[in-house]
Amino acid sequence: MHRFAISLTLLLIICLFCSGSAIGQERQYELSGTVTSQSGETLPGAHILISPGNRTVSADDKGRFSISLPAGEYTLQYQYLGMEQGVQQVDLRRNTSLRLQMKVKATGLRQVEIIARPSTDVNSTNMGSTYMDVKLLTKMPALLGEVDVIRSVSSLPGVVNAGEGTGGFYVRGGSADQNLVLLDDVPVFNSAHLFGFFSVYNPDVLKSYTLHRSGISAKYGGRISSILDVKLEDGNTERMRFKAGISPVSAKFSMEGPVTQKLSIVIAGRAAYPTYLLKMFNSDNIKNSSADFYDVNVKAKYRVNENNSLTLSTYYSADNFKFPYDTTYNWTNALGSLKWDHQFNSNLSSTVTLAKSVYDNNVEGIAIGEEFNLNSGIDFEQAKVDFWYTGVANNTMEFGGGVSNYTIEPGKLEPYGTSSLNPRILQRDNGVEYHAYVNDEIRLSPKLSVSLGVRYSNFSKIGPTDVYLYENGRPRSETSITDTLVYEDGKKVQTYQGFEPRAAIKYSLNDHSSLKASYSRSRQYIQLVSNTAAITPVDVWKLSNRYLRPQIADQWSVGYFRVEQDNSYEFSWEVYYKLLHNQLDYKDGAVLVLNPVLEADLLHGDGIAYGSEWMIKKNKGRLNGWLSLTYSRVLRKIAGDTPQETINDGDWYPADYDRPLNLNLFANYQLWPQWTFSSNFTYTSGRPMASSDSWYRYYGHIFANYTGRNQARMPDYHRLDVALNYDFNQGKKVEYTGSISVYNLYSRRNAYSAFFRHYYGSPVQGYKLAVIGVPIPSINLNVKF
Amino acid sequence: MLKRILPLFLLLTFGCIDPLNMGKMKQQKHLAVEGSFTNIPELNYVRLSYAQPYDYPYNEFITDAEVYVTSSEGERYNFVYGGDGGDFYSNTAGSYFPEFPLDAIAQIGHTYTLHVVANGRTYQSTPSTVKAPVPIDSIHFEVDEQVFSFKGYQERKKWPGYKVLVDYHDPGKDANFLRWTFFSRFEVNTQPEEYRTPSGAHVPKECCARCFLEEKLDRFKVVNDRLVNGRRVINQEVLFLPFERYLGIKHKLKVYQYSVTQDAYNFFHIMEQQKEAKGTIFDPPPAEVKGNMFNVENAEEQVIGFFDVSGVSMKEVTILRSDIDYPVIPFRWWDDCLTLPGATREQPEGW
Repeated sequence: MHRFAISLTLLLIICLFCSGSAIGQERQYELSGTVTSQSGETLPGAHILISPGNRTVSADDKGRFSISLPAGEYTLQYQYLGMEQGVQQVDLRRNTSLRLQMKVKATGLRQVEIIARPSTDVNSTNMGSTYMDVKLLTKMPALLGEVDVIRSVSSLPGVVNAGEGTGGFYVRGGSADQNLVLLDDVPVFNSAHLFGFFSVYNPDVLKSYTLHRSGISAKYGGRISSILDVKLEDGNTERMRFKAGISPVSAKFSMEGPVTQKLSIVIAGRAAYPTYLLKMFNSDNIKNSSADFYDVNVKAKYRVNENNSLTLSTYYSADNFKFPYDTTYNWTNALGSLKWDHQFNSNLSSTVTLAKSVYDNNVEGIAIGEEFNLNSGIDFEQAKVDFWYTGVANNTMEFGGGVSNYTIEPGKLEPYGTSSLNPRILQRDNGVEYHAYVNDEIRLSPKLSVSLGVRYSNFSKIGPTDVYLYENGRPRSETSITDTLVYEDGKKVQTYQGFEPRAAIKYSLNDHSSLKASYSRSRQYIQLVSNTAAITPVDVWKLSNRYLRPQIADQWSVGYFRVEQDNSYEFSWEVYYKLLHNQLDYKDGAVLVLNPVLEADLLHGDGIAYGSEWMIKKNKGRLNGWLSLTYSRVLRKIAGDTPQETINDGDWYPADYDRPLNLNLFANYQLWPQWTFSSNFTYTSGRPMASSDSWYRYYGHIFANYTGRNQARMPDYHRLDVALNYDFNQGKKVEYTGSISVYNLYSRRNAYSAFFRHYYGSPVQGYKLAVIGVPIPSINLNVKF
Repeated sequence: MLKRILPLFLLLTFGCIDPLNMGKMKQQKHLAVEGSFTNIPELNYVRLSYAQPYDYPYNEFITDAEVYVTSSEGERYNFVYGGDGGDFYSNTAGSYFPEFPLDAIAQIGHTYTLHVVANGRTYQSTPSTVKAPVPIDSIHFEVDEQVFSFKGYQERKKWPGYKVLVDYHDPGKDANFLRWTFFSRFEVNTQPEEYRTPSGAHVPKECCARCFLEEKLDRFKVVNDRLVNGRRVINQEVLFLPFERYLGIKHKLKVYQYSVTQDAYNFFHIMEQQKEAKGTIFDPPPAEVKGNMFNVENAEEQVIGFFDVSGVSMKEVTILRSDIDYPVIPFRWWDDCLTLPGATREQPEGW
């Protein structure tokens, strides 16, 4: 491993020199710059076409771009969603830095070219990453009146959603907690509101998101499946703009704009109030229940001067769910980041980020004899610095490092009243993680680029903690503990470290198509311990420790990418293979809540995942959209020392996230200038489940006899959503938009889970539970001024 | 607690439940073993049956097996087939009882193994040791409404009734695991004089209005003392009895409190999970239940069930309808009370 990292670093240095000499033959100059709107917002993903030569380059997430070209005269055509195309002439005689500004497009034609930017960049080494702009997102059909980032992510190749009513998604056979979900660079630990019908992302202040799933730059780490990087609006510098929206179950309001010439702000709030609908039910239980949430975003950007800016982004949300007489659930997310962007010169810039994310969860029981408060949560802090350097011709270097601190409250049970429960506090789970990385994208020739990087991460589990030692040869359990090691406050209990090499190569076949390949290793030191299929409010996050080794993934992928010259069509085909180490699974009947010997109920093993993803996308014209198709498998092998710690006799078996076939079709059609129609169809193979071959009577009750784990499959999942969007007075000062949408149009009863039961008057048999079994219409109205 | 969210969750989310066609699967016969050996003779039995494919709706019991229990202390008790007595739901089909002595009991601290020879195959349980029983301090009742289905009727509906609650002192020393079963005897009054034939004609019957019934009630509920170790536990809910039929006149209830092993706890805990599973996001996925029986010659064969070896304490209480502080609606049964499954006119001893 270490040898590999050293040789990779050497290779990187060699390449640096090579690239310098290779270009020596023809004098190359660096053309770099930023793309912004007239109001000063950066435009990440802006697409720049350089002719002659038909070279293309895309702006990164800060709106920056950089490309090496031989000396000469060039024409730059640059475009961005909803902006008028810009044209600029450049006479390249030395390294040149530009500021490209774009004007908001006059309305009318705006919606025809809704997807102006291709989601793949054929000229970069990036692969397996998809960029989505909020303007496209808002055209997708809504559920309960709101479009949603997490739902839209599930329509991308290689991604399936974890099931209706949950906030999770699976990427290339990874579990929901193997995705790092970011909000302005801060990790979000529970991205769902109201059982996943809403997510933490308020679409009114959203700018864009990028999902990285292979060839991930060394800049990113911490999770082994994917990185969902979501950015909010910075606030324009022109004038204060307001947005408001309403639907039968939710309302929202936002404002963004300048306070002074240097300071711009974004303030947004949302609330959902389905409780009044519950009051309409006859049942007392439902009548007396309640469910609601609200959330607030506050963001401020202060442009100190041309080279410095400070950005503060904060978010707070609170969810309440009450079941009468019995139990209430509350959870809150409080997170924020403070960023300092500094431009040293046209070749070097840096960002210093301080981030904090606090997730708190409370369950209160109010039944007599059982009154309790159960609190759990996670407190995450991070400080990091990232640099971006283009000083060496044909190289774009990124490097940086940081430290993260985790404090997890796994569970604190406080009984009160007549409760016969003992109070119980599980020890806090503390840990600290350091990381450093360097990544260099090198353009060896106009056709060939490589990106080489390495990330180093070091994680320590920190005391105070008791570590149990178990008897050898017996399954781990409370009764096989032989000794306890006591670690004091601040003492290192266990350290894991390792390099995470990343490499990608791009070879251009011609101006509009390329072949790419990549390898990446990633490590993950925190996991969600849950034996339900999805992220629920009662799940517990857990850091790596003596028994839970860090999860590691090695991924190889190759792909073919093609974008037509005028961006009208794009096509990608990617094949991947992953080796997964130290994957978690559970003993049957595992107890996860308030369990001090949690490791005794967990099982460990290895996994493999492989698959092929195709995507064809039409970016222009009255009809646009995409079709994506994925074939993928993920298998696991858990062979412990004892039969109790072994699953399916130690053979390979499909993991819970194994959904071989996945097809998504999203289409957006401009009916008339003000009307658009959009639809979204999704099809996925069913989730694996335990199969049952027979029934038996036991103590007078009927049971299904299950054999092995995940040996059968639930019925396939498919669903069609449609929406009709209308712009009332386009281009006027006050702009109204409205949409009517139907989720699950043809009333498919998709199985969320399957189980066997003996119901009155029918034989013993299997049943499926569908969370949504009817079409759900919704209407929403938005106003912008 | 979490499972009780389900009704709301479903309504919130427009959910629904549909039959699922699993298709044909290849299946061999799986032996299912139900059995317990304790320090109380009437609880000691072994019951053998086979699991059936889904398209075969009948039970198949084993009546000709060789069944015996041995201990590491040198004891051996043969069990013999008890015959098909009783009605369909409380029958003893497939059950084996100690042959000699008839009141054979387990000794606290001894380690027992069950042996079964059926259809030429030899099965055995893993040995387990009898734990000391935990005495029941008191039994009391609380009026409640719960979903209940009467034996012989699969319909589940909400009935008013008594929650049966026990108090006990949890021993502080070791991890303790408890399970409960019940034996209930009760008196009913019916209305044979109001009998009508299926065609509706009123043909009063002369006999009989007063009957006695008895029933063995099994529950899978198990508790551990993880959160209550060494504490006095009050109001541990163990059973629900509807007023309807059970508590109309007089009821004598025996509560058996089993100190089970950790393996038995795990087994019954998963059985309870599967019995209650409704497939919600809060349910763990269903899985194979591993018991403690195995085929001696073929470890690959799947054998269902658990041989439970426990120390048991028992307490009996009598409930009179006149003591119940609730307007109990009298039991209506317009027929001879002997038509109730398992009813007899013979008054139990000491009633």
